[in-house]
Amino acid sequence: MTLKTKITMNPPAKMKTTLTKIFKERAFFEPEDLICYSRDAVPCLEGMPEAVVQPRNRRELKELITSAQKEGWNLIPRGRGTGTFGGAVPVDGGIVVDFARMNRIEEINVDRHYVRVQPGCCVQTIDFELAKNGLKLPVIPWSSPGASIGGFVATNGVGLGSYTYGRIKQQVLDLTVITGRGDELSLGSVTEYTPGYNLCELFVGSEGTLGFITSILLTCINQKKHTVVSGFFKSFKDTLSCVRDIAQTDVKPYTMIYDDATTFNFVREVTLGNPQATIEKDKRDTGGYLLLAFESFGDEEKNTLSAIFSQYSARLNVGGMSEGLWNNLSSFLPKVYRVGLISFEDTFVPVDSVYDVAVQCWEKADELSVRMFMGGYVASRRTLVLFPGMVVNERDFEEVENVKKAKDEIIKITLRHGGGISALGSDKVNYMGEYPERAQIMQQIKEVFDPYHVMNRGKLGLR
Amino acid sequence: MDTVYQCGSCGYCLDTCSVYATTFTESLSPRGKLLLLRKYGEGVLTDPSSLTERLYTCTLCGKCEDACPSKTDITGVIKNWRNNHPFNEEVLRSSLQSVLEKGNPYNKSQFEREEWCTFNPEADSDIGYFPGCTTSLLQPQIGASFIQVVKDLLPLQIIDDVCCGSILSKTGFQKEVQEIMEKNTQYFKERGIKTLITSCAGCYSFFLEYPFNVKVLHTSQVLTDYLSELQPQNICTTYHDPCHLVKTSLTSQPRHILKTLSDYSEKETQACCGAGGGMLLNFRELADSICKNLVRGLNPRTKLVTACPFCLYHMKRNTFQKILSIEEFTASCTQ
Repeated sequence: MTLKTKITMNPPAKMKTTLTKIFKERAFFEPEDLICYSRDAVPCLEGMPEAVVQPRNRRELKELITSAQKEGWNLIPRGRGTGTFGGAVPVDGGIVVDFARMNRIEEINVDRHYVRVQPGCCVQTIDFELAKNGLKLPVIPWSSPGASIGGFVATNGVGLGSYTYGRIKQQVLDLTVITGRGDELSLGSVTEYTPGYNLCELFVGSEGTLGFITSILLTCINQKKHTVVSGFFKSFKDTLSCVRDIAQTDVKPYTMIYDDATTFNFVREVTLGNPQATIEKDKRDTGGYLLLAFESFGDEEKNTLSAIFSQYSARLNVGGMSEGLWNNLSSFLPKVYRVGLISFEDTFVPVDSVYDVAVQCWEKADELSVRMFMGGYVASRRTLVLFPGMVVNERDFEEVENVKKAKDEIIKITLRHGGGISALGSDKVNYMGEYPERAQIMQQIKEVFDPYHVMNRGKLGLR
Repeated sequence: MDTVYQCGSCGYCLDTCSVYATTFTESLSPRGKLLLLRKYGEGVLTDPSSLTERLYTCTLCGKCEDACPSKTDITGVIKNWRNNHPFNEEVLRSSLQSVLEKGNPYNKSQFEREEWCTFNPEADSDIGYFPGCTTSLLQPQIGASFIQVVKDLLPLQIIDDVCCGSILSKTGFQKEVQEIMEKNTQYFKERGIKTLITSCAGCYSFFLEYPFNVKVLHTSQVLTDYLSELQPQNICTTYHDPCHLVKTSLTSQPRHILKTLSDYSEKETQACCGAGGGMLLNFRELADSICKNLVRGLNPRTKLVTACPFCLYHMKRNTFQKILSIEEFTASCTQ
């Protein structure tokens, strides 16, 4: 299959004139430039923008919003385009606002343990600079080397460290935003305490539908060395039961990753450089592994985990081999692209339902002949992120359609088991229909911040 | 074509690309280029000329490939396009002509080229010193410094009248490069060369691609053998990695020299200087901007040393700070 994106060669003349006046050489209209903003890391989803602009400061953003209000333009904020659900894809056209040039670290305050950054800043760069001061971000997205902090905040991401520290919304102390109305607001403070409605949290996860985030104040923690432990289990079911048992104790790993045997073998082959690696579906439930990283690992943690692991005839490995696994597996996802593009459907599943959800996802995958591998990480005591990854060849029309169907089914299965989905982007926007009352209230809130409907129309199913 | 479908847009390449880090232009980023090629292959983009300019806006440093988790052969795809789609043809053709007629891409005479060398070579030696066109014509002190260190220790022939063809291989002249390689191989054979030492990182990495039975060494590999003859200096140094040497895993020898003979500290980050892959020839302004970003913030009390004459030449054009070649630094330790 060849996915063909329609190219709108000529943006309206007024748009071109206005944007060039505001952004000069940082306004792009050529098809070769526009096409590079037609997709993010989600396969099989594309849309052409009419223009792309790269703001340098708040003044330019305000001027852009004023013009958009007059002309009825749709503005789509974009970090670094590494999302896996089409959050930055202009499926209905519009102007992509690329924050690549608003990428400064504005302040690192060691005494107060915070960092103030612009949204286009790469998360890895922030962590690199913090490390010089003995600090780090509590939560890091899985896509860290590529991801921008703005995208992570706008989608209320989870990642490495979420088990201990929560989602990114718990790390955001303050946001400076320019709303779709054109108002510039500071929504929080350098302490965690602000009276009344938590407007910061309202913007975190709003997926660019309320306004532009222009500055982010994040909490930091002291750098700590990780101890990595792991265990291999007889079945995937045992692995997930072990996760559930650990979640009921006071042991608090920084992060917990799990995979089934098929995925483990597949990833091992891929990371060893075999582009022909296959997913052996008959070995799915023949094993599983668990990888845990701790910021503090003493006798209490060791004894508790050993006792739980032994119930499943698994041995606790501390350091050594586990460190090697950590280096490979904590960043394995993009490596799988050697085999083919991967469509991820990250779903949030209650800790005691994950195995049932996984089995039903496998059944659907087999029914649709989709190449699926399964793994994930533990987001909190209650919730596991299940990460069914599906290999897809975008030139194979049938496979593309089947993967789309499988994605729909995965979400249905998750919702049936009391689970949920996180960010919607353009890929999962239809599922807002599952929550009509919430959608209505969200629209009313959007009207307050974006009465002219210039901010990311269509995302979250909102106007 | 399959290679361009291997990119999953993870963005790991973005910060490693000196062109993207300077321009912030997505269509000039490695993943942007792959997407453009893909869309051209799918027939969505139809004008090859607009792609060609973007695909020549690349230093071919290969840092994106090191960062790419799916190990996409990005520079291979770009070089392949360049071989079929010439750009800035007049300028590049003139370089080609100069290489074919004068043995260097700078349109200079052989007389000018030999000015740096006052050394009496030993015609019988099977070891050849190949300074490279950039050393001989733009940074002649490099060759002179190397000779100063090794003249009494190593019998050498000087081979300074041909171009290795590296620059042409990066700018779309693959067919001509094959001929140059064959011709040079024959020439080295006639001169009885069994070991070839070069000061140029570009020549070094390109000679490794030659299908000949000659041992190729970079000067930094040779100089490490003579450190006991040299006097350590009381200066602070740091090192810029030439991309060609990184690609050929030659990173430890220059550092070993500096650590032994000076107070060495590692640079915080390593990035491409911006000159390679035809960038200085085709996009001088951008190449300079990339380099200015690189040399900005250098500690004036710490001497920056590099092991490539082209990096050295380009960095010197973009800073007032003194930058040294590994040969010059080593020669300063003979006094």
